[in-house]
Amino acid sequence: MLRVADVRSGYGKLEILQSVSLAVGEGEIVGLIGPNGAGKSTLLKTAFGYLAPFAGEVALEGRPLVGLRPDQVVRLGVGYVAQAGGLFADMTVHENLVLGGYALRSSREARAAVDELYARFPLFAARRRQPAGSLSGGEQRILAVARALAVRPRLLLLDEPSAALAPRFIADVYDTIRALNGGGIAMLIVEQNVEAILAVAHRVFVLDLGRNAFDGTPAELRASDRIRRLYLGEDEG
Amino acid sequence: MIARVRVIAVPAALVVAALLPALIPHPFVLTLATQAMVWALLAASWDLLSGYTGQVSFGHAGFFALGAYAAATATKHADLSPWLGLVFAALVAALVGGLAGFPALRLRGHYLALVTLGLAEIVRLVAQNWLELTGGPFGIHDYRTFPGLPAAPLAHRQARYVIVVAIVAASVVAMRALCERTPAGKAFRAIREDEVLAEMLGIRTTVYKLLAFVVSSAFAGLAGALYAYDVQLVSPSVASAATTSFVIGMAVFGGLGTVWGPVLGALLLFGLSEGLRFIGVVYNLIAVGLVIMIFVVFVPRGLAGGRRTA
Amino acid sequence: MLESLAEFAIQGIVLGGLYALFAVGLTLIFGVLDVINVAHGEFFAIGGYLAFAAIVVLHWPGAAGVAGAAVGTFLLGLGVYPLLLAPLKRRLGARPRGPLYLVLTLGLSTFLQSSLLAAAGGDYLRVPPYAGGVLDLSFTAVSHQRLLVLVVSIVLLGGLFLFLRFHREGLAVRAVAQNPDAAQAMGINLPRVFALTLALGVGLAGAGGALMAPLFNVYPTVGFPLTIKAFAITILGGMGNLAGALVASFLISLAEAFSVMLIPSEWQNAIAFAVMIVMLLLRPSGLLGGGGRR
Repeated sequence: MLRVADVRSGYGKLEILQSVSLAVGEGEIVGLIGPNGAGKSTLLKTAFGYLAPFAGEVALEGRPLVGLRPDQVVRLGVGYVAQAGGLFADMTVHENLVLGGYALRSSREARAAVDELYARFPLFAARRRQPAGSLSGGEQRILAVARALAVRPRLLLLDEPSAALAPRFIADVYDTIRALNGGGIAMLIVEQNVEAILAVAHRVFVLDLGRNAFDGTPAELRASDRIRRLYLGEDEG
Repeated sequence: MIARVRVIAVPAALVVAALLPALIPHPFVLTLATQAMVWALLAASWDLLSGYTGQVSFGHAGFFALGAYAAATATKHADLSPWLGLVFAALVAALVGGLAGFPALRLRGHYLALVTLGLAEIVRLVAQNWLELTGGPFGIHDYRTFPGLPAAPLAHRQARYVIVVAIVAASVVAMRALCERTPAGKAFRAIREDEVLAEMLGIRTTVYKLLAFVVSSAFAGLAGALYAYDVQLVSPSVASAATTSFVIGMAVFGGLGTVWGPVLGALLLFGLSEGLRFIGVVYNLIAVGLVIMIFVVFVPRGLAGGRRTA
Repeated sequence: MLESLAEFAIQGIVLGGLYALFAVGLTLIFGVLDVINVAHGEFFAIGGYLAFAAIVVLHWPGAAGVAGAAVGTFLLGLGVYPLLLAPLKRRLGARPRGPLYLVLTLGLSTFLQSSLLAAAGGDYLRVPPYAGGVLDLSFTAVSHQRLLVLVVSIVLLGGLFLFLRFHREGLAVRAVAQNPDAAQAMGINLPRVFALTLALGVGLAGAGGALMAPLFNVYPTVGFPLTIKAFAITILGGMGNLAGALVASFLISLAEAFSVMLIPSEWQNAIAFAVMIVMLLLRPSGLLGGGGRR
């Protein structure tokens, strides 16, 4: 459903992605891994419209996304969860969820969506008046994902959902991811934690120095000596 | 292309400026030309601090007024020679500028602009309310100008013009030399581009920021003194924000961070502004506002096409 | 003695309402756009001129005149972001060059002030009071016009706080102030929120200008001293901190009102600047600490 073709992108004049292509199929979890500075987050930001690519195409179900702002991409059914969540820390849990439904047509629809989220994540119903910044790290990450669900996206872009989390929270976050995928949501997940992503991904892309270095299933990735030596070894250390 | 224009334009402008009293021996023209030169010095002093060093001041009207009042009151009440009055004015402004520079050591961007604006406003209030010294809202007048000038009106104007041009030219050359030929200039540029990095490179940013403050306010004060001895009347309105706005307009017009660009901008914008007075007295400030807006947004390098903006 | 104290307190509170209306708008704009609007006072003046045009020239009733002036200023304010700030932002890209925005709004201030002078002349225009009579409090008396200013200020500010707290567009404004990137990921259109916030802020200033027209008269530079005073207030309250701006407005206005007992009244206006400079030296983050982004 998402297709990225020969994208070159970066910040200002600094080119980080030199030519990258990838695809996310209907209902698929796709992992995006690679060493620091490979351009994984840059790719996510380019796909979502934070960055305008210098060249190449990004398309959602055949519809070009290049030139659209993030707020327009959201309305096409794509959710984005930033590294560290991007919560509004001083605002309450409830306000964060209401903002998650901002792109819905009416405030009545938004209210219904928030009620649905409370039913799905009862934890947050009890803490609706608490500032989002006062939740634990793992809860914040799940709140960020929950918030992105308010508009019922068909594709979620997740930037390092496990970063800076204790292991038990990582398990919680990935349980949530698996459950959502079971409901039919496709995902493109940037991850440093290779074991966590290989356990859930249907397909994996490896980026290195702004270029595609590998794509295939997790099993194929594990079987590839070159890639294992280069990336898995490094990241497990 | 721009470099070639500069090579021709600058000496040409200097020659024209120097020969003006002989070319157009007309008192009215000379009066305007003298004032334009005073503005040029003020704009250049603002640029040294704000364009070149990146510490945006909204208070140059205050330093200018300080210099003007210092010169006028010292000559009127203490009978100080106007030649010494110029020095005295620069010292007073430099002292206050140095004091104002202290908060600048810790404040950046927004805050600095606001504190300097507040400073100018305090200068204006003092000028307006300290009747014994400043003459209050009507200003200070009836003090002498440079001694030993010819008595004939035209010759007198010509002589005054030459004095002002000489002092302004020497000051601008000195500021330009400070910026381009000394380690201080390098430090100024480093502070403007990235203060944190400058500090990491071992540049004592506090010292150089303070230096920029003191030098800039001293020359602004000198410009104020020239204004006082030329116009022979100093009133609180010189400290108003409109003066600062005018100066910033000139600097933006000419090109920030070049010192000589604002000189050019001042001569042109002052000329434009005086020309517009013939159409109607209010149109000149509309033009100043428009020039600032259009140049900040669309012509960031100004007419001089100098280096990157502040 | 006690009676005059009470009288100064009432004067201070009424003035505080006006300062708050003005400074909260300025702070809102700073918090969301990271731009200090040097031209804020000119929108106050425009509000006064629109009220004069509506009430004196067109003979509208007072309430309609004030409402019309507020709406008119709001509509003018809508143009400021797309026409001035957005082009500069596009040119600068990601580089943070705050001072250039200051220079730009200074240019706007000069332009608007002199345009008002060109269009309406420099005379003091008089607007008749919207409410006649005085309220007798036995120890002192307050004109109904002053009470009206206070009440309307409170209503408008209360409305603003409710909007920011409960309305989803209000939540969007706060979200942008906290984290513009994340706000965009919620589907919030940043340029639209920037334009609306700026219009809302200057609209409040316009409402203030219209309300004060009978007390201050109307002339092109009527708003500029308020702008400088509001800078002092926002610094006292903490840049970008709305509640801080509200508290600081009343602190400054009360200090000014009571100061006449200690210092000559012509120095009253210096208090705000003295406070500003002292605060910047001692506690740049404001009385309530924290505050917004720098």
